[in-house]
Amino acid sequence: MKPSSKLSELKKGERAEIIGFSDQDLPVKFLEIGLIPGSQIEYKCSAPFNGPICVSLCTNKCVLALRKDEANSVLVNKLK
Amino acid sequence: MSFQKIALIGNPNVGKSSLFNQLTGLKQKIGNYPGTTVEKRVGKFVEENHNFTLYDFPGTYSLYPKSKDEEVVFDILSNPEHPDFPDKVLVIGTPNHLKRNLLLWNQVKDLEIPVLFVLNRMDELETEGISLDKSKLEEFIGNTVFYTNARTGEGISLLKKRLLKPIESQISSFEIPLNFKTPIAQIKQAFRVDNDYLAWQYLAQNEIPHLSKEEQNRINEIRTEFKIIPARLQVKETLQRNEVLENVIEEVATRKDESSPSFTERLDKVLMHPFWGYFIFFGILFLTFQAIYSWSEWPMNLIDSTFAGLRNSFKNTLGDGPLIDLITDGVIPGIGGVVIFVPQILILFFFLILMEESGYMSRVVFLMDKWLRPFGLNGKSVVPLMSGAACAIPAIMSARNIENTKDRLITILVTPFITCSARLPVYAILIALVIPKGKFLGFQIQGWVLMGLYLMGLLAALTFGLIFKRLIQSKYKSYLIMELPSYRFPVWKNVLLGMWEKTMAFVLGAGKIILAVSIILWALSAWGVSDEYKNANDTISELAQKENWTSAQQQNHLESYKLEHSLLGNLGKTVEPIFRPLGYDWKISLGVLSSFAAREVFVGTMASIYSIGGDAAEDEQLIVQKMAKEKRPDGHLVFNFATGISLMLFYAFAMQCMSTLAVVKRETGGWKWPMIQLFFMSSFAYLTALIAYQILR
Repeated sequence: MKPSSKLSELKKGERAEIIGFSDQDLPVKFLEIGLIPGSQIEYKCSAPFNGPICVSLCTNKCVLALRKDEANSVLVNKLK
Repeated sequence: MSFQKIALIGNPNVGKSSLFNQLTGLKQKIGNYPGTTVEKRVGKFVEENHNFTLYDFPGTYSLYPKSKDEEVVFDILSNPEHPDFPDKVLVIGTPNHLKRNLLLWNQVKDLEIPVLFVLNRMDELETEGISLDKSKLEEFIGNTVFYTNARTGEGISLLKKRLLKPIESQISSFEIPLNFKTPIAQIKQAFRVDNDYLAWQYLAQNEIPHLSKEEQNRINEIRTEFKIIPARLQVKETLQRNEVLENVIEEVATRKDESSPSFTERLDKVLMHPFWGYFIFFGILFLTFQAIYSWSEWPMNLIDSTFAGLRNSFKNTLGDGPLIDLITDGVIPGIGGVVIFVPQILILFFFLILMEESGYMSRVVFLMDKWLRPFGLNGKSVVPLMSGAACAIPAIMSARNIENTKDRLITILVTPFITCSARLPVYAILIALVIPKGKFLGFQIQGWVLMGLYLMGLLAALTFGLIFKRLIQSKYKSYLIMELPSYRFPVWKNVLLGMWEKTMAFVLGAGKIILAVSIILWALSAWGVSDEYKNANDTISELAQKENWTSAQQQNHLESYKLEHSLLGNLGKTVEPIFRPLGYDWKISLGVLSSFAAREVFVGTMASIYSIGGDAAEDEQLIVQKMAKEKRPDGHLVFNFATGISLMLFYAFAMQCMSTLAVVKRETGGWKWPMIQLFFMSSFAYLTALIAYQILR
């Protein structure tokens, strides 16, 4: 198995599959809104100076924004 | 005739409000859910002699509330005794987010409430290249699924017809995870609940609002015994449901692979660009404020002259008398003082709602979040801060959708620093008094000063945000996760209704208090107990003979003499010592004091003190001239540069709006925060005004 990386470490245009969370107390809203283990995302862009980042869900192109802090605790496997 | 309550529930951005507007037309009103400040939007419609009351619930992703707004959904659905408990629920979804929408539907269904699933925005099928297997979807849902398009009105009449017929509630199909069977059994026994899922909710919700303290404690005991952490249960449930839904969606929906970027993607390349994104946002802000001032001038003048005319015609037709004075000098100017702000508020909210409706506002949140974090605010504070430029009342109410309580509280506390439209008339008169005409860097100096005052308000808001961020403790970490919806062309009906609602929030919220205080001010100025007040007529007519005044002059002098010795005048002189270090005499102190009703009352008070008959604003030039000539006993001008600056600073920072305090009390659930706000804002204002005056004089 490939070593996992963090959502925050992706680069623009990279795709990845969410495999889990390093923070057990991540608010349930992350799951509800679509960041669920198994779902594939694409890193879109980020606001300057370490601002929030923007990803889109591959299945329905739904665009989500979250802070770097939280993206740090989302574990992903990069897709080629 | 039968009466039924229908609740509309759905994720944000599914067109729920449009659907609500389509179903009810304009027959709707806004109130509050009992015991909360959450907006309750209720509409009515009649179908074949059956009366339906429709409730538009706040948008939510699940039954687990994340913000003040969302709490109301579970609060009502979990409590059949609640007066707003619906007979039927419509869960609204869209083809593009079907999985997420079904999660919410699933939860509502498992509470065993009669529910229909409505798929709105059917145009997405084509634009997003989705095809749905309707029969498979209905098989899963166990009922007919309704297709609607709230923009065109498609499917609405069918849906109304369906509401006439009964809807069977379905048995909960939520499977309690094995190791939770015992605590669930205990809950069911302790609370006489026979629905597994409702019992699960008792354990998984942070709070069950309708339970008593003892009952809540009972739940906590069970939780401790079985080491249950609510948030983890919520995650467990969401994952469990998602697994099922994943398979369903695979069967129901198929998508054409689209590789070309959508309209939204292309637009976001620019609007969320690290440079152009900000450039465009500030450009939009600039245009908005330009529009507020240039578009509102004409209607404001019209309102002003209408009320002046109204007042005069009342005076002329009804004559004199205490009751008539109350109407002409108390009530009419009071109402006029409220209505005068309506144009500016309408225009600002026109732009804000346009940004909200089109989907642009969430991009602003994305762009601004990082910049506001250091000040204890978050991206979502942008809306309250911007609305604050019109009026702090709707602005503070719009802070409700900020999830984190600490961020929300700080937003509420600092928003009144933003220069609202009530400060403008005061600034206008003070700038005209003490700032010289002329140009600096090609622009009017007076314009620069006005801009400086705006910036100072913003700066004060941020500075105090910084302070409160350190002072206020919070057990919850602030987080931000939000959807950036696809851009959509605004629905004009929604825009207009939104503008109407926000403006009414101001008119009803501020209006009552401004009106009441205008009447009290009038009463205090119309009565006096001192001998001077009682002998005013004689004193002035003696003086008039000596000084050869015309009868109009005599009348003006009489009015100002009476005011000086009225109860209000006495009050002004009593508080004068407090304000003397700031450079204010008793007249200005009175203006400042009366401004606690609403800031712009200052202008009216000054007008009456300087004994100008007729309408205040009509004679603004006259007031300025008179105020400019006013001298202190020692011969110095009253409104010199130092006093003017000191006053501007005081108005920029002081918490002088009782209506705002009332709203803050409502939103924070007690007097603690509004009192703190009153204290820190007013003492900061006093201090800066004091320092400025003592340096400049």
